[in-house]
Amino acid sequence: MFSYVEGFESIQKMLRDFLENGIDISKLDPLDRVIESAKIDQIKILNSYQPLLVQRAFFGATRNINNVVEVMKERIKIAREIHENPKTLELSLEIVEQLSAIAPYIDDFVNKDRIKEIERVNELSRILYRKASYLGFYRDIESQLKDARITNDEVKAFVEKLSENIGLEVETLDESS
Amino acid sequence: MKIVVETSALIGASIFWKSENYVIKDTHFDKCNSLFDFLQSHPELGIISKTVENEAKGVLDKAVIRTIHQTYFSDIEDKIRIMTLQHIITNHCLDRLEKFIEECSTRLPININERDKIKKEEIEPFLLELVMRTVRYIQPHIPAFIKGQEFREELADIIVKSLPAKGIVYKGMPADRDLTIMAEATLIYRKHEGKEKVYVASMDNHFIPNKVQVGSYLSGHMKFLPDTLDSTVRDRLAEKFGFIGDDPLEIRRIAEKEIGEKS
Repeated sequence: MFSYVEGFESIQKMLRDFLENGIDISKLDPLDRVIESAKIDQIKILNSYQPLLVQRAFFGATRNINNVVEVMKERIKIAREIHENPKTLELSLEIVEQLSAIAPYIDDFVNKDRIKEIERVNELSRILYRKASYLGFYRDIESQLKDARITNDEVKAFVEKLSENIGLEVETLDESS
Repeated sequence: MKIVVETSALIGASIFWKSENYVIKDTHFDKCNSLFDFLQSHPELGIISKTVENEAKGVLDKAVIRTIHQTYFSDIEDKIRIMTLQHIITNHCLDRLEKFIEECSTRLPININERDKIKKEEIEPFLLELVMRTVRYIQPHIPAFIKGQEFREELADIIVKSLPAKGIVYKGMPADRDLTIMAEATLIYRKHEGKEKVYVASMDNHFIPNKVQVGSYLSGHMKFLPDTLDSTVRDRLAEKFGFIGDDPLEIRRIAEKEIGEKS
């Protein structure tokens, strides 16, 4: 049973080791373990019998983890070539702090089927996303859509339906429409 | 002058998606975004309260959940794709929303007790009484023996035209969240001791002049009277509590005029 808390502790240890002794790209296993688990857990979450609200919160959180750690791995791999070793590692350590904050909630849900503080999960997930985007640890929208094989028509249909539902929520739709 | 941005205006400007080949936006995007374009250069005029921010985020969440519920998943792969899509779109819309809050507004302290007191003791009773004398639509009574849709519509138009008074058109009692925002706008107006005009930028029918609708769901004949807005309730609220509700584009026009006059 994989633990995200332990997973991020291993990543933290790996990053500190790289900072002291230099990057060794043959030792990126801790990142791979988190990436793999987050991928599997996304499917597990969406296959669960939990309400959509719960699924959405934990799916979002694990997706963010997966995205961030994948980018982290790519950046560490090329850090030496672009002469950004310490900078990349220091920024990664900063991001790991945010990843560690959300980890206990994911562990509780995935490993113990315990759901607590959905609001907090959403909040931490959003903070992680914002920080990662700001520091360049998140993929751009176009590549996310491409990776997920989402077509333009699907985006269009979803946003249109969303706009209609927002109209219903805030009572801005004309009652005849 | 101060411009209190209401939930519908904030969310209206946040729903926007641009790709290489197309642009998708909320029905009210152009009006709402135009106000934010203006506020970006005059952030000292804009006010987005914590209530409105939370409310807008809540609305987005609820609408996303509803949209997912309306989407059919043929298998788990489909579900993963749609959940990924909603995650990307939600983040994108929230990014816009948070950018507007950071770049286009200031935040005044709101005393929650004072606000709730205004809401419960002043605004709610005032509106409860007022809405007793409002109608959601004008429904001319046409006897059942008059047949033919076209003829009935024509007759309805004539009756509406000849009515001496059409009644006050308003969409019923506002939701609790609207009352809270009205109370905040009142509080802001009072803090400025009436020296500042306080506008509420909104697309919600409870804040702004209402289109006049003739007919009802049941009549099978419904339409809006062209170029007719009923601002009675909006004006009474302005008279009593100080805040003036209007659509974001109109408020931008007023603000530009006011700034032009000052300079």
